[in-house]
Amino acid sequence: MDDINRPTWEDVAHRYGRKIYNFAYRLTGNPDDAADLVQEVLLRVRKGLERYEPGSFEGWLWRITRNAFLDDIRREKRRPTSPLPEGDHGHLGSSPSPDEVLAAVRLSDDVQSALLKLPYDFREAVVLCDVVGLTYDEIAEATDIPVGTVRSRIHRGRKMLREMLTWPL
Amino acid sequence: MAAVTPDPDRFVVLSAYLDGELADGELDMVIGMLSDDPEAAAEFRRIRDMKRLLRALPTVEPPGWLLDVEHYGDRLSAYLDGELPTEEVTSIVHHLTTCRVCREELHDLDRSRIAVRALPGLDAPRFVPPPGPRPSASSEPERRRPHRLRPRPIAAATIGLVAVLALLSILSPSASDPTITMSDLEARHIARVSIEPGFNVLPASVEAVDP
Repeated sequence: MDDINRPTWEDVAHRYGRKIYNFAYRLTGNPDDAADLVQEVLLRVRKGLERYEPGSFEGWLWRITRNAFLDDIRREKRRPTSPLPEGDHGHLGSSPSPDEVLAAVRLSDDVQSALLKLPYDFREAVVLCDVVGLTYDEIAEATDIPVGTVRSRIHRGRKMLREMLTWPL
Repeated sequence: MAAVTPDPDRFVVLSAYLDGELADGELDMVIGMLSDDPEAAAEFRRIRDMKRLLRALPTVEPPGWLLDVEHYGDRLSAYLDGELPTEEVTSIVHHLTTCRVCREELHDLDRSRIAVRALPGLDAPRFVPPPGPRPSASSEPERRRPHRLRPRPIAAATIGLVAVLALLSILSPSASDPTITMSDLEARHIARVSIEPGFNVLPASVEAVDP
């Protein structure tokens, strides 16, 4: 990417900010942590844009996002699988049917709660695929793992989620 | 999609099928599984429904201060230099309380500014121009060359001296006499100095003898 086509960090914030925020929110379940992560990513993008080599911009951006998230976990010793606040557990498995729960905010809470219980590697793969919308190749590039592993993690992650959500689908 | 190694879980291809990520040749395998294997068909429905749920997760809107704001970019330098109107300064200060990226950009700008301002002042080089208009190259007086000995006149004088001495030694009555008298020395001296132009070739004693 040459200087003419290289975006500024403001461009990145405008174009990808919401995606990064949603990725972070689905991984952490915490709006404050998600906002912190967005700012950390934008800081790293601002510093890294000058050294950015031509290639997949989204792969580069999501690698930065993932590294920022993992660094934050390591720094804060804060695992996103920490227990949820009281009241978030009670309705797991309480929804009567998929169609009804799809329309309810409560369903997203259930799915979010189940996501947070997934081991990180599986959660990350599922979120990048189903929330962010990356392809398997893009996920492999962002996470630096083989595409076969990506495929396996996504599938196993979905299976684990399905097993956690006990209401009938 | 790139080729992948077979997964021990044979249903992995079902997720890849849902995501449009099958490798070459896997589509027929999936179609066969779904039509012939009830367990695979049931697994497929479960995975499909789970994927639907995940895709149905609502987009979470970030707080307004995070993204839906104007960043200040180039105006941060003007802010540092106190060159902005008061109302804009107020809005920048407010923005800086929440925007880490602009705060860092401001710090970087400030560090650069401090570095430039901390450069040491340099004294002007001491150079005093000569009074009056500088003479042109053509009007500059010709420099005198340093005095140098000229080798050619010296060599000629030496040769002449040797020739005179040889002639005297031949014409002299005491040529065969190795004894050197004072008159000989004087004559030789006159002969030596006579080659120097403007020199009084005759000593006083000679003048007194000759009428």
